[in-house]
Amino acid sequence: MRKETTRFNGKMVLQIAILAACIKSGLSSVFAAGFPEPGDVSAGGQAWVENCTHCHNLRNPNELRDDQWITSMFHMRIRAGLTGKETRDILSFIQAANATAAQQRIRAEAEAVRAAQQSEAQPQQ
Amino acid sequence: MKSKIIVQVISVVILNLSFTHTLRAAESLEELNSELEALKTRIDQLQLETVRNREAAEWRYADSAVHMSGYADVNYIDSDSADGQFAVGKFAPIFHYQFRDLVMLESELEIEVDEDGETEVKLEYLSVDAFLNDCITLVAGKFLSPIGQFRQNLHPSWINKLASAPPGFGHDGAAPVADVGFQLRGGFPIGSTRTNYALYVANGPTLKAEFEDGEFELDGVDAEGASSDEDGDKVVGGRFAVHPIPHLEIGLSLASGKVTVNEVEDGDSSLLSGEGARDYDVQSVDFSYQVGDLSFRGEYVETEVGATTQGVAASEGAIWETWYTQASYREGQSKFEYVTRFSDFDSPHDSRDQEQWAVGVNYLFTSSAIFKLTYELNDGEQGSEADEDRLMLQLAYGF
Repeated sequence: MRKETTRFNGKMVLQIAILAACIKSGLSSVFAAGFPEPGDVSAGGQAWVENCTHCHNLRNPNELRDDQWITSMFHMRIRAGLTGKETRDILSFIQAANATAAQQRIRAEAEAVRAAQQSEAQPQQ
Repeated sequence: MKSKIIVQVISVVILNLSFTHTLRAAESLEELNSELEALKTRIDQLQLETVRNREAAEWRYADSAVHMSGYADVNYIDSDSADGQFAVGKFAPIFHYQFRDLVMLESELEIEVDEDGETEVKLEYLSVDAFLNDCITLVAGKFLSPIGQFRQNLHPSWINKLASAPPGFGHDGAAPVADVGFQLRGGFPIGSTRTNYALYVANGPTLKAEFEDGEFELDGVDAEGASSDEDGDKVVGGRFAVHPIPHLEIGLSLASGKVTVNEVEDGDSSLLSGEGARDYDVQSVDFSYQVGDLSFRGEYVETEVGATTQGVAASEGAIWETWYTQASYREGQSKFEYVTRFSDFDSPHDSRDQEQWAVGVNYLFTSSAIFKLTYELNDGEQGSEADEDRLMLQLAYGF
C-alpha cells in the first residue's frame, strides 16, 4: 500500500508564512507589556500635524488629561486608519506636550504664590 | 564664720543654677510638645498623601481606561417659506471603554428633539474593536459606513465646517450612513507612502418603495444599519486611501451586494410579499488637501439599485448620485474661518434633486467650540423644499 505524503508547493509555503506572520504579530500585540508602549515623540509631532488636520482643527494637548488622550487616540486610530506605531508616536507627543504645559502652569502658580508672600511680607518690614 | 559665708554663697549659686535649669527644661518641654504636634500633623499629611498617591497610581496604571467624548449643537434656521426658528440640533455622547491596547468598546448615541418637542434617541454606532496588530483592527457591530469620508469622519458638527451636511450625505441620501457586520481596518506604509484601508461584510441596507401612478417604484435606500438581512446576501465593500504627499489623501470606495424592499412609503408594508433581491452597488472617490492656510476636500458617491420582477413591489432600478467640493481658509491661528461648498444631488425623484452653493463664516472660541454662520443658496424643483434658500446659525461643541 502506497503511503500518501503531503508535498509543500511554493503557494502553500507562502500561505503558511503569511499565516505565521499574522499570528506572530497578533500574539506580540496580545502579550505586549506596555499600555501603550512609549512612542517616538518627534515622529509623533509630525504625524500629529499631518494626520489630524485632514479632518479637523488641531486640539490643544492640554484639553484632555493623559489618560483621556489614550482612549481618544485609539478611537482616532480606527477613524483615521492610523497604524499602531503612528498612534503611539502621536500619543507620546501629546502627553509630552501636556506635561510641558502642566509644568508651565505649576511654575506660574508657584511664582504667583511667591509674589503674594513677598508682598505680604513687605508691609511688616 | 568665713567658711559659713562661703557655704551660703555656694548654696545660693547652686539654687540659682538649678532654678534656671528647671526653667530651661520647662521651655524645652514646651518646644518638644509643639514639635511633636507638628510632627503628628506632618505624619497625618503624609498618610493622606500616600493614600492619594496610591489612588493616583491605581488610576494611572489600571488596565482599563474610560472616557466620554462627543459633540452637541444648537441651531437657528431661517428659510424662504418659514419663519426663523431655534432648534436643538443634536447631542451625541460617545463612550469609550478600553482594555489596555487590545480591545475597545465605542458607542455613539444620537439624541435629537423633533419639531413636536419629542426626544429621539438613536444608536449611531456600537462596536467592539480588537487591535490585532499594528496594521489590522477588527471592528464588529454597528459601524459608520467606511464608504467615502463624510459619514465616517466629517459629520460631527464640530468638525463639519458648515452648519449642514452636503445634500445626499445626510440620512436617506446617496451615501450609506452605517451598517451592521464586521470590518478589518487600519493603515500600513508602502515605502514612504502612507495608506489606510477598510474592508467590511455587513447586512447591507434595506429599500423603501412607493406606489405612484398605479405602479411601484423605488423611493429610497435606508442605509442606516439594519440588524436584519431579509435576502440573506451580504454586502461586501471597503475603502482604500493613499497619501502620495504629506497633507494629500485620495480615497476610493466600493461596495456590492443584494438588497430588498421591506417598506412602503405612506403605505401598508405588511402587504409586501416575495420581494426579489436586487443588485446593490456603490462607488465613491474622495480627496482632501491642505496647503498653507487653505484646505480643500471633495467626494463623489453613486448608489445603484437594480431592477426585479419578483414580489409585490417589483419595479425598475434606480440611481442616487451626489458630490461636493469644499474650500476653507483660516489664516494662521486666527479665530475666523471662511468656507464655501458646492454640492449636486441627483435622485430618482425630481423633487429631491438639489444643487447647492453654501458659504459660511465661523468663529472658533476654541478648536472644538465653533460658532457658524452659513447661508445656503439652493436650486431644486420649483416650489419644493429643495429649492428654498436657508440662513443657519449654529453653535457646535466637541468634547
